[in-house]
Amino acid sequence: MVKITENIRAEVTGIIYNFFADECEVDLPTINDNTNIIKDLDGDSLMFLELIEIFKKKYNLDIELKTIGKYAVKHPVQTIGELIEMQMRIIEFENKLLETDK
Amino acid sequence: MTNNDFNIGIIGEGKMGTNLFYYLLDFGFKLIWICHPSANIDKIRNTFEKKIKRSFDNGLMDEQHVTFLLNSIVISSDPTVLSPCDLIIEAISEDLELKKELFRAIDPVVSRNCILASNSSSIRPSELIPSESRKDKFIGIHFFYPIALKNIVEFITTADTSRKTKDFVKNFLYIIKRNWLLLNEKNSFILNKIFLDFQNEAYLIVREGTLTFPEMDAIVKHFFFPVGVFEFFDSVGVDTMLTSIRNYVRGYPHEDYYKPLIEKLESMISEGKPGQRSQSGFYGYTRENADINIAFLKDPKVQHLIEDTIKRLTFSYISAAKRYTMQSRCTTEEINNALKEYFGIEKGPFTQ
Repeated sequence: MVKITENIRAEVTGIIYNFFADECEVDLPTINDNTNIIKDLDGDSLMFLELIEIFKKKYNLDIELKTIGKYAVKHPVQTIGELIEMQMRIIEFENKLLETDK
Repeated sequence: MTNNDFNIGIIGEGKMGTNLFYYLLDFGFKLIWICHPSANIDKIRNTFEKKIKRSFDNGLMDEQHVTFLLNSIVISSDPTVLSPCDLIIEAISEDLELKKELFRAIDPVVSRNCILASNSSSIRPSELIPSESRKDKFIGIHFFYPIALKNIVEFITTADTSRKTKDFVKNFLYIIKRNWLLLNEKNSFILNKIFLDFQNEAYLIVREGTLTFPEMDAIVKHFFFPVGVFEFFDSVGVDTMLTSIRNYVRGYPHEDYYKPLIEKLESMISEGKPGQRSQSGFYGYTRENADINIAFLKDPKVQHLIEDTIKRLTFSYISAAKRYTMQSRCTTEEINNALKEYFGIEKGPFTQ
């Protein structure tokens, strides 16, 4: 488990903002926490998977995609802000993500 | 031989074709991706190169693999570039005539030894075989979306599929780390068919007038699967679901059992309600409508109704799972595990 600090939060936020600006070909300043990933950016679930792989590698996370999939079904993500929050939980709890959700 | 020696073709740039292409990038095959002539190949190529670069920048791929991909990947709308392929997987829209036409077009282009596969979710492979000489090398490989999250594939054979073809495809599935159910085409697409019986029962219950679509989805999501029946229809597309269901029930002894559901889907299409992509389907379509009211599940006045519904749905689910297990000659463990992957659930129908 990774202890969440303000630095990690800032780093995750930066990676997610830059990822969507690059992938969806929009200017970085147009993205904020309220940006809707599907409606505003024409994003899809495959983008989530790529981001998860990036964070798994970056923070050496022990978590299966399946676990994240189950969590995401219970907590559907629509906005960039919600995605950041989900990612923070993934980093913090890894494979215990679902246990902490009960 | 290494994976680099295998040439794998993918046809289709829709949701599944694209997903398959990107999923296969990690395994070292030489990939050839054929997109529709109307597709913007330059844009697709640029997106691919951008993703590869980002994967490298984020440490997900090493330089050697990036170089290999950039030098080996072919993205084109010209089917003749498929000629070196050992295996070609078609993932175009679920249209029998379009698929037949496609396979007829590529059959003379590819080598005699090339295996042709369809990712169809409802059309039997034998209906698509383009020539006599391809009969032993034509199969179905039915992936589920998103491939990385659904570790199960229906590997569908015909009466003519050769041992060599089966061995090659099993090896391919092993390499790409996907489990499979080996099915004869007479008993194929069983995971969707098991879900269909459940969906059909859910619709028949709603049709009786005691529950609404959102209420039924609330029950399904609380007691069975992560996604509601009617949310699923809207998400996949009512038209796509209708095509598949018609294919599944054609020739069934109890075809009439599915008639009300088919008629409902037909009427929705004619009313211009194909589902989520046009913001109109079983739901309104606003996010608020899709969010189910949990209070309904706690209402004491409807507890008996919920219990009856659970009983009926459970019976439908278990009996379909048992029936298709027997028909497919798969083991209960295989079906149990496949359904767990298919639905993304912890317990299958045969879990104690």
